[in-house]
Amino acid sequence: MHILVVSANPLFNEILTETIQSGDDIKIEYTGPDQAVIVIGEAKPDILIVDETIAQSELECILKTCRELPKVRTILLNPRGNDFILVDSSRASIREVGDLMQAIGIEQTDIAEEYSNDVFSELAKVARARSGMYIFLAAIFNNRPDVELVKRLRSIGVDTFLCPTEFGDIHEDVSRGLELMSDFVQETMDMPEEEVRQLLGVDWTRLFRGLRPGYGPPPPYESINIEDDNATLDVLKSLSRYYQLENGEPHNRLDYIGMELEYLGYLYDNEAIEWERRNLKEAAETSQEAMQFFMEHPGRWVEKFCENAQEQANTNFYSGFLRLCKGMIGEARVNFDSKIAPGKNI
Amino acid sequence: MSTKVEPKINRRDFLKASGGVFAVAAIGSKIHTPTLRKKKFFNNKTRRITSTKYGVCRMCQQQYCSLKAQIQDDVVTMVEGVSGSLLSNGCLCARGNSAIPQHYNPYRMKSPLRRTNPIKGFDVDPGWEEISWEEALTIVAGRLKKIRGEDPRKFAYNQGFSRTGIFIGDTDYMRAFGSPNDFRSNGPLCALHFAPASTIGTFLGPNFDFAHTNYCLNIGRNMGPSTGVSGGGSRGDGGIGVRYFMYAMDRGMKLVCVDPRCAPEASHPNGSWIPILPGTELALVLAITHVLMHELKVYDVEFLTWRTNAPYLVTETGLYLKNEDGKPLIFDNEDQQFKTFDDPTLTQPALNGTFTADGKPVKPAFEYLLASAATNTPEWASGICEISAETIRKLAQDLAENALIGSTIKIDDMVLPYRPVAVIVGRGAVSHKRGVLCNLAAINLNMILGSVGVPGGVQSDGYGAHFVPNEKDGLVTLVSEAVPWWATNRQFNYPPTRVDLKDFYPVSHHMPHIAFKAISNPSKYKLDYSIDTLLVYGGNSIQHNCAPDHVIESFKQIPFVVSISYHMDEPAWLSDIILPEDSNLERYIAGRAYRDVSLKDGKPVAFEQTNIQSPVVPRLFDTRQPDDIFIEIAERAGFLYGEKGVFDVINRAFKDEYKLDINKKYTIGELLDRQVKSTWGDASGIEENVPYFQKVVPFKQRYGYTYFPGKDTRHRVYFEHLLQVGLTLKDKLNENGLETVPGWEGKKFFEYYIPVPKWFDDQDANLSDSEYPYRVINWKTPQFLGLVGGSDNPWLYEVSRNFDPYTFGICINPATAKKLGLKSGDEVVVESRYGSTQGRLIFTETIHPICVGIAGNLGRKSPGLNPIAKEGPNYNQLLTGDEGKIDPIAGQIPISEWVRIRKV
Repeated sequence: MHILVVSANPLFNEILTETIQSGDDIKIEYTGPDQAVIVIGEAKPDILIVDETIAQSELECILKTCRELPKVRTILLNPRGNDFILVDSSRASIREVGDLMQAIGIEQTDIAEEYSNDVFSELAKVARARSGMYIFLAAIFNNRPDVELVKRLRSIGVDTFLCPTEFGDIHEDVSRGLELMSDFVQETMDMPEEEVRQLLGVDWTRLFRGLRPGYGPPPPYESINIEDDNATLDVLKSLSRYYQLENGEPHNRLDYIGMELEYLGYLYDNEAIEWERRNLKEAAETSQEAMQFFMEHPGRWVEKFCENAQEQANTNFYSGFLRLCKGMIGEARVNFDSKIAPGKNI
Repeated sequence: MSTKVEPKINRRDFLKASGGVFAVAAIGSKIHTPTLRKKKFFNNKTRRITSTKYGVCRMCQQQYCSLKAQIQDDVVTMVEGVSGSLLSNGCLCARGNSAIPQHYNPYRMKSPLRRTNPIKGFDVDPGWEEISWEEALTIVAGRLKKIRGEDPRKFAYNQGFSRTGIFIGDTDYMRAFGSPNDFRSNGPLCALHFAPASTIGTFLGPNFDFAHTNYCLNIGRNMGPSTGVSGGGSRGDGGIGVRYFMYAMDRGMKLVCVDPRCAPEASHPNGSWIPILPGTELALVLAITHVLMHELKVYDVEFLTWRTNAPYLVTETGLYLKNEDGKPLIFDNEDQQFKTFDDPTLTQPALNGTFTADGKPVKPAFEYLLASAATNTPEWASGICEISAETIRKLAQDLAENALIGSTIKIDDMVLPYRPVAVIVGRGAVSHKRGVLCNLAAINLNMILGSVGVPGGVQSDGYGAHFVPNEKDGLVTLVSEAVPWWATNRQFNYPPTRVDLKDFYPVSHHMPHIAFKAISNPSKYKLDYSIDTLLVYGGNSIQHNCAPDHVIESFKQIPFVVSISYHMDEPAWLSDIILPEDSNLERYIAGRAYRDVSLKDGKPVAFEQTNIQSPVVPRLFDTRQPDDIFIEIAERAGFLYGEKGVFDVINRAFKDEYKLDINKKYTIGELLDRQVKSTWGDASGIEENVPYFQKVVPFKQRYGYTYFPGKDTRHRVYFEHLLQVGLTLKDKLNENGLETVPGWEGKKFFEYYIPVPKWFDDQDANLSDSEYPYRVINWKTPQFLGLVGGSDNPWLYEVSRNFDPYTFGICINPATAKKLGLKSGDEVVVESRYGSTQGRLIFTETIHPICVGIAGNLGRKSPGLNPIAKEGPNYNQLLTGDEGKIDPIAGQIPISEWVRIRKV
C-alpha cells in the first residue's frame, strides 16, 4: 500500500509515521503542500492523507486533483480535531481518529467485505448513517454560516450534493433540495466569500432565529409549530425528560429544531455503538426510543415548518436545505409508519 | 479501494450513502460546534424532578417582591410570592407571574445581531445577521475606544426604568468613560422629584402614613395599581401597595380622590371622588390654602415657627436677609432683635410683621405666604378647576378638623406630634406646566397643618433620617434634583456639556424630549459637538416620551446605535448592533437595601430588606447579564481598570473589607456578593435559594421627627432656593449673550422660578382651546408599565383583555359621546395639535365629561414586537415636549393635551 502524506508540518509527519508504522507492505512518503498536486499526479498513491490545516487555496487544488483520481482514497486529517474526513470521488464522511487505522486498513485487508456479511455491522452502518444525517441537519440549523462553510462548500464541490440524486428511488424533496443547494454554490462561486457568508447569515438569522412575528417563518420551536397554543411548558417538560445537557448551556430552547434533530443523531449514534458491540437488546431499545422520540417530537412538526420556511427563504442554499430536510424527515416518517402500522410488531 | 457506490440501491443503502453525503456538508460547521459526541446528553426519560428556587421579581422597576419558582424537569412551571418577605408579604402580581412567558418568549433576542442594511426605518428590513459575542463586543468597544480618544462627549447613553437592578452600567459607568451624556427615558411624564427633594430630603414622596393617617386628600395620584401592586410598603414612590392601602382604608381612613378619573381606590366605602379639570389642580390647592390661612385661620404655629423657614426674613428681592456669614436671619419678638436661625437665644420668632434692616423693609416668609394666599378664594379657584367653592371649603374644613393640631401620640417609647391628615399629589396633578409649583403648594398644605414627618402625616421615602439639617441655612438638606446641576458639576458650562441641556435646566428631571431635539440640531441648542454613538439599555425614548416620530428621526441621524435589549423594541429595531440580555430568571440580583414599612402579623412594622437572586434557571440562549456586557465593553475599550476606571468609580459602594482590586476582573455575581456583604456582613452574600436578608426595627424610626425632634431642623415652605436658581441661570445666560434658554424666546420661563407657588396666566399653559375642546388623560395600568417584556407579554395581554375593561380603548363619558353623536364601540380618532391616535370608544361614567381617557402605554410602533403590543391607542403620540409647553423647572411634558375626537 502506498500512502502519501501532505503537510508542511514535520510533527504531523512524525506522528503519522509512529501511528501507521510502515512495513514491507506499507510505504509512506511525504510531500509539502506546494508540490503536492504534482507528486499526487505522478505517484497516484492508494491513500492520500492531507493535513487539513494547510492553506485553503492549496487544499482546494489538492481536492480538485483527487476528484480526478477516483482510485485515490483521500483522508483530510485535522491535527487539532478528534476526527477526520474520508473523501473519494463522489462523497465523503466524518469519522473519529480512532477509526483512522481501520479506514486505512479496510482497503488493505478487505475487512469491509467481511463486515458486509455481518448483520450487526450492517445495522450499525445504517444507524451511523442516520446519525450522520440528523447531525448534519442539526448542524445547519444550529450554526450560523461562516466563511469556513463557504470555503468548504466550494472546495468539496457541488458534485457532493448532486451524488445522491442519481439514485432512482430518492424522495423528490431530497433531490430537488440538493439541486437547489448545488445551484447556490454554483451561482455564488464568483462572489467574494464574505459576501456569500453575509447572504447566508442574513437568511439563516431570519429563517431560524425568531426575531419577530412575521419576519421569516414562525420560529423553529416545536411548541410554536404545533396546533396547541398553550403547549410551551408541556413540550419543554417532555423534552426535558428526554434530554438535558449535563454541562454547558445549549444556548437554545430544548424544542428548537436543531436540538431535537441533534438528539435524534445522538440516539442513532448510540444505537450504532450498541450494534457494534453486538448488544442486541440495548440496540433495539435505543432504536425504539429514537422512533418514539421522532414520532412524539420532530415527526409531528418539522416537515410542516420546513415547507413553510422554504417558501420564505431568500437563498437557494436554505431553500434547498429546508426542502432536503423536509424530504429526509418525510423518508423517516414513511419508514416509521410502516413499522407501526396496525397488526405489526415493532 | 472497495467502497464503491452502486448505481441502484435500496432505501437502506440510500440512507447510508446520503448520511455520508450530508455529513460532508457539515464539515464547515463542525469546526466551531461541539460534535454530538462531545456534547453529553443526560438521558433519563423517567425522571420527574420538581424543585423550588427563590429569586426576585424584576417585572417592574421596584424589585420589591421575592419570588418562589417551581421547577419541573428543568422547566419553570409556576412562580409565586414568598410569605416571609416583608416587602411583598407573600404576594406576586400579574406582572410577576408573567416572568414565565417572559423567559420562554420565542421572540427574545438570542444572540448578538448586526444590521447589514444601513438604511434605518420601521418600514425597512434591517437585514439582521446574528454574530458572535466576540465580534459584537469588538465592534462596539472599538468604536468607543476611538471616541474616547477624540471627544468622549460624543458617546451618549440612554437608559430607563427597565435597567432596574443594574449595578454596572449606571451613571458611574459614563463617569469612568468620561462622557456627561447619561440621560434617561424614565420620568419625563412624571417629574415629581423637585418638591420632595426640596422639602423632605428625599427623591420620592411624600406619602400618607398607612398606620395612622385618618384623612387623606389625594390629588391626582394612582394609589397602588400604578406600581408595586404586591409590594411597595407605603413608600413614597407611587407604589403605595394595595395591601397597605387597604389596611388604612379598613382601619377607617377617609380618602378623597380629586382626579379627572374615578380610580378604583375611590370606590371603597370610605372613599370619594371629586372630578377636576386636568391641569387646574394648583388652583384648588391654592384655594384650600386660602381657606385654611385666611378664613379658618388654622395652621400649626408651633410647627411653622420652629420646624420651617416661615419666620426667615425676606427682603424685597425675595431673597433671605442674611448676616455677614451668610446665615438667614429671624426677628425675635422677645427682645426685638435680628438673630440667626441657630441663635440659642432665639425665643419668639416672628411669623408676622414688617421690619427694617439696613433701611429697607423685610418680612418673615410667612407674610409672603399669607399675602400670596389672600386672593386665592374658592370662588376664584372654582372658575378654573370647576369644583364648587362649597366643596373646596369643605375639603379645607375636613383637613383642619382632622389635623388635630397640638395633639401627640406615643410610638414605642417616644412621644411625637400627632397629625393624622395627609395631602398627597401624584402624576395627574404635577405633570403640567405648573406642575412643580402645584407639587410645592400641596406639600405646603401639610406644612401649614404640621403634618410632615410625624405620625399620621406625610412621610419621606421609606424610613430614615431624611430631614438632615443644613448648617448653612438650618433647613433640610437639598437632595437630588433640588441641587442645581452646576452645583454638582461644580460649574456652569457654556457651551452646554450635555445633550439634555442640564446647564439650562439645572433642577430638571430626565428630559429625553430635549436631548433628542439637541441631538438632531446641536447648533440650535448651542452644543459644540454631535453624538456619534448612542447606547440604549433599559430605556425607550420612542415609546416613553412624547413626539415619537421626532425621536425616530433623531435615531436615524446618529451614526452608530447599540442596544442592550431583551426584545426587538423600537430602539433595538433602529440599532446597528443589538446585544441580547438575560431574562429576569437568568440573572444575579441584589436589590437595594430597602428601608420600608409593612405589616407583620397584621401590625405595622418598619424594616430593612435586601432581595437577592442567583440564577433561577440556566440561560436558554446566548445572552448575558447586562452588567457583564458593560464590564466586557469597558475592558476592551480601556476604561475598566485602574484609577478612575469603572471598578475604581464603583468601589465606594463597598465597605473597606470588600473593596475591589481595581485591576482585577469581576463578574456581576462576585460584585453583588460583595455588595450584599457590605450591607449585611460576612455571613450574607449571594446564596442559592436565600431570597432576602431582613431586619425589623422599632416603628418610631419610620418618622423623620424621631431623628430630629423638637426644633432640630426646619423644612422649606418658602422656596428661596428656586428663586435663586432662576436668578443665577438668568445671569449665566446673559453673560454668554443669551436672553433666555434656547427655544424659550418670547415665552414665560423665569416666571416659574419663584419662592411662593402662585397661579398666573400663561398662554402656553392655556385652559381652553376652541378647536380642540377636550383634554386627554392617562393612567398607568398594573399590567403595562412600559417595561421590558410588558406589552408584548401574552400573559399580561390576556389579563388585561379579560379583567381591565378600560384598557385598549378610548374612554369617554357617555354624556360627551351623546353630544358628539358617538356610540360605544365606535372607532374614533383622537387628535391634538401634535399628533393623533386611534381606538375604539369605551363608555364610562368614571371620567370627567371634558376628558378623553387612554390607559397605559400601548400602541407600540416597533415592527419587531409581537403584534399584540401594537394594539390599543398610543397616548404619547398626542403630547409635545416643545419649549414653552413643558414645565420650565422640571422639564415635565404636559400630560393632558387638548384634543378633539371624531369617528373614523
